[in-house]
Amino acid sequence: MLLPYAPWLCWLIPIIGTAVTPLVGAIRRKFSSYLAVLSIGMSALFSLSMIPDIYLGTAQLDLTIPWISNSIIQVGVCIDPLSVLMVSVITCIGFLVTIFSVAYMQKEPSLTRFWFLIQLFIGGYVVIVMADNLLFMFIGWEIVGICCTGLAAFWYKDPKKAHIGLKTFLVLHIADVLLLASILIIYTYSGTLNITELSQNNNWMGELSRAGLLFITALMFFGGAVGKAAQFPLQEWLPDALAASPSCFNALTECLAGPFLMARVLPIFHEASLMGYSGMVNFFIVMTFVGALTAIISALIAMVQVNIFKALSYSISSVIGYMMAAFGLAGLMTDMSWGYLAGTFLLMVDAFVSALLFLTAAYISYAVGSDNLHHMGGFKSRIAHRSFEVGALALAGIPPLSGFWCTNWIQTVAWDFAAEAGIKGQFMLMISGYVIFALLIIGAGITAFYGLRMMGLVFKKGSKSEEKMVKKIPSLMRISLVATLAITIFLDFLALLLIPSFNKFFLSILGTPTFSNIADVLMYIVPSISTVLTCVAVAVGGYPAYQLYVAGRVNPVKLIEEHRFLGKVYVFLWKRCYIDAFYHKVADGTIAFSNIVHRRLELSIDSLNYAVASFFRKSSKFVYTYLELNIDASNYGVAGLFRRLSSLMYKYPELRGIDALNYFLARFVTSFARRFRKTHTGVLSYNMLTAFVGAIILIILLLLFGGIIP
Amino acid sequence: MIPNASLLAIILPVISAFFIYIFGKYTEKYVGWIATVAASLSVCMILSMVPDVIKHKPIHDTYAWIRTPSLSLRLGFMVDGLSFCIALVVAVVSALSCLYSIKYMENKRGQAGYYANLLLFMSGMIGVILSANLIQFYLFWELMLIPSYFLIASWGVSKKRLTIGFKYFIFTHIGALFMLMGILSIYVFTGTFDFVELPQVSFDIPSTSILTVFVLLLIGFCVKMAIFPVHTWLPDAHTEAPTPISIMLSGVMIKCGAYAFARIFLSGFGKTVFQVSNTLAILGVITMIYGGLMALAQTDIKRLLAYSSISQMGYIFFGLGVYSTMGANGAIFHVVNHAICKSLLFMCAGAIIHQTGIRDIRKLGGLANKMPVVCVAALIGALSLAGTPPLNGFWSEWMIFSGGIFSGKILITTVAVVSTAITAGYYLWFLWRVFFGTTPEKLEIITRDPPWLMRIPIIILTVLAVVIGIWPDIVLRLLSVPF
Repeated sequence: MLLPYAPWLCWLIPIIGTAVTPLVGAIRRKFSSYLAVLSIGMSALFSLSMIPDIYLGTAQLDLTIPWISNSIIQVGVCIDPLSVLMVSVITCIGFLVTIFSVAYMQKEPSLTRFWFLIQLFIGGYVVIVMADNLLFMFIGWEIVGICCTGLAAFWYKDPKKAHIGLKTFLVLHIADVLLLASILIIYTYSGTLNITELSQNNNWMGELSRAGLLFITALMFFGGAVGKAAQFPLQEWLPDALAASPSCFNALTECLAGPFLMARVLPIFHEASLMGYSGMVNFFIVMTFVGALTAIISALIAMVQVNIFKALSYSISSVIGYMMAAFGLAGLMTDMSWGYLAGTFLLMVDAFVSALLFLTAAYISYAVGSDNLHHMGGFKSRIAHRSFEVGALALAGIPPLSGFWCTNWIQTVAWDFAAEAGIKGQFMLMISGYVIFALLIIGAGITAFYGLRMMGLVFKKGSKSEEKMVKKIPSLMRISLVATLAITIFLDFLALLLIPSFNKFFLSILGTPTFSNIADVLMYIVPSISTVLTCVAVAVGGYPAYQLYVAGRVNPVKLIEEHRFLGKVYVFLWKRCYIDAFYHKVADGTIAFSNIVHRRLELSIDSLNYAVASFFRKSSKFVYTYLELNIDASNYGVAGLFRRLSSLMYKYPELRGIDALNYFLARFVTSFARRFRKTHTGVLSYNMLTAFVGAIILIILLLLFGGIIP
Repeated sequence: MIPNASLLAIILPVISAFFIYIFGKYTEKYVGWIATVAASLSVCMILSMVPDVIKHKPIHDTYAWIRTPSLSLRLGFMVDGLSFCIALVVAVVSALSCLYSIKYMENKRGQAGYYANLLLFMSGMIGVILSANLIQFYLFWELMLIPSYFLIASWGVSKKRLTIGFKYFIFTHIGALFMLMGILSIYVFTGTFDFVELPQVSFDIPSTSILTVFVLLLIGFCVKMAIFPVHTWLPDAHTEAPTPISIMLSGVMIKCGAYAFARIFLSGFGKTVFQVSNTLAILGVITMIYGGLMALAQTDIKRLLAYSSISQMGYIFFGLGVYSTMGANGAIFHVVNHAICKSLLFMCAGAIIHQTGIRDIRKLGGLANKMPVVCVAALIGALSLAGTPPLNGFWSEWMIFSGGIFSGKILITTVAVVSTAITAGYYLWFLWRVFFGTTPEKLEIITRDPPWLMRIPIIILTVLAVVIGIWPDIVLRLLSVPF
């Protein structure tokens, strides 16, 4: 390795920079800029130092250190052609953007916050690219999402921009959640998160396939990429986010992480497709169609945008559609290298082309103080014009710039795929192959239209803007733009020559070289039906745009007014095919739904509680009134009864009976005694007589009962 | 370690509570500080047990208590990988909420009573978590109810406080009674109250009645955890209580139910949990989604957070209910993380209420540059609970959901994972309405960050959320759920 620990330091440095930024910014606002330049520059340096290793084939490494003890969660980096290529592209663009932003943002009061987000963003992006396991990758993925949100809502005081930040976060989060669910399922079935291990042992895909989950798991995985890459139907966050965020940041095209992710797992999924696991073919078909449809829909919407950043972001989403289509086709074909190379090559080239376009747009909008394409006409700056020309012509697919070769290449792959499917006798696949081919060709035409339109509007001469206040442009911005321009020109004009060495770079992933020299490339790409059709499409799309916007022979406003159909199409596209409106409906609907549930269900559960409580209160009152009081009354009744009974008893047996008897006895004894007293006369003869009578009675009694007479 | 640390951790706040109440007249000015010191001492006591816990050596202290021929009970405290983390977070959150109260409750009446109740409440919770037998567990369970009832009913913010306090009391008490019936049935069947013996003796419960016992206990836990549909006491109580008490209620008290689930069900009733795990998981997901939807509909800051607690308890319940080691560990880890982040969010809400006097989200806006510290803290708390790496909530949610998928419930888990979008939705929407956009004129001049005494606890919790997020191992090494 050229520099020690390069695969770790390339993401650690920006993250450490992030952590230090608030402290440095607190000392002096300007220092945070220097720190960012330093940290991102170092990161770029370390990233670039890994390129020779790949060329020499010395490093195919997978380094890990444990993160959580007793579990498989690790921090790991993976050094392979794809990650090294991508990390170099990102950090180089990141460095250029940083230099550009130092000048662009110098008057911004919340500079520290800006650098905090930018460094964290680049750190997270590099983590996505370098991570060797899905979980660590996901962490980087989320960090990038949060930073996008933070940058979209950077000027949070503006309610509209704050709202856009919220929207960005939610759309990205929905995609992330799908990705997370998919990662969890993969982890459960494979027992590992490591990408290398996942590709070495694909029993897990067999098991997933037998469980019938392979298609849905792959689709959820793709869902994550769709969100980040701004593909149909989740593309609506990107234009708003880019239009709201500080425009110097836009050149850091975070959405390229989406195609990168698919390129990362493509060999694994392709292997599964080759093994014939059910669901994979359908998955790749879905992926290709999503790509092709996005290529067209986004290009169509880009045709009518007036905000330059919105137009550019639709264009990038459209180009990513091409990449996705290329990867999807790669997965469908027996030999994935054609599509894979086409997609990754476009990924690399487009990163620079888009960066150039966005930087130029930021440059121009900084100068004229407006994002509106119609306000940019008449701004004179050679650098800006050359840059925009190189970018827009490459985008529009004008030969011999890179865009032409790349789209042509992908279309050729589609054509080949259709042919291959035809030979195998898979009729449906063949048809889809031709449909995709047709869609891509149409896309090329539309791209030519909006590319030229943007150019025409930006370069429009002589309108009101001659006396327009043009801000003086700091030289740092110019330097950075020129550097980007130089790199892009190099890639743009030498695209064809670069393809063989690009192929060589990827040898360790693809095995056999597909294009060993230029002749192979030319043989593959040029003599095909696609070249002819692309030229036709570009001409068909480009000519009206040329007439309308560059030459200015026809007035587009009048044209729309005259043709009602065109007017309707215009409104449809201007409203962004109503996709955004649909999402707002969904969000409003959810809130309305939760309000209804709150009113109807929650409050009724609550009132049920109160009802139960009041039921108990009422029933206790009822029981009290009717039972308790009656029992009480009957108690009183019983008590009364006893009272009466006792008073009766007192009266009759007590007073009249026993008591009266007592008195009677007493009276009887008294009266008896009174009468008897009369017999006590005191006369002896009477006494004796009585004694005599008594003796006789005693004798008789003795004789009778005494036992003397038996 | 300090001998008898677990007993001291519970007794110290009780003693200080009585001290504060009795000598309240003389210590009026310093009463908050005394309470904070007492609570911090309790934190230190618990922290002193780290060396043993980290070696996976459970501490089991027992003291003589009841000894009659028919019943022999010992007062016991158990500190292991399950109870330690929760007890620690309970103590930390309580101590911070004491500190937070000093400024927040500055001009309220009955300071001494307030802090005495707060400390009793705290020791009740720690007691529940460190108890080593079911009877003691029940006693502390009721002990934590009574002071919290007084705190709501007497220091509540609106006129409805008596009604709401009563509702809280009745709900929790009925739940506790169901639990008591379950506890007594366990005793009838097994002849023991001891947690340590429970896993072995639980086979003695006849299979015909084990489900009844299970349901009785479950009702008790569910009421405490505010699982749908027995959740209605929570939003009222948590909204009504003064903010420091909301922090304790929402941050830690409802977690006692989760702890009880893990302690009693996962070790003792494993088979039953496994049998009904689908029902439990679905109940968890319903609570998750329902709480989230309700949070979307709220306009009161604290009420929104209260509903979000219900939703988060759904996550925890789901993690426990799926019956897998990963899920249970994740759920207990989420108990810790949610305690940190929800306390943080309630502190932020309290700071906003304290500084602006407004509770209605619709009347707030653009506070980000007026209250930068609170804004960053609230963002971190909310993003963490929405499961954003690399913050702490991500790890526990990841573990909960991978536990769900491990146990083979792919469909339910996928629904659960997708429903986290609702969580992200209501949190972000809430933060956006409060912190971003234009500031209402009324708030333009006066609003700024809260005083330092309120800012410090907020900063501590924010740092904890980030540190645990970057290095989850510091908690995970201490944590192990016995199965």
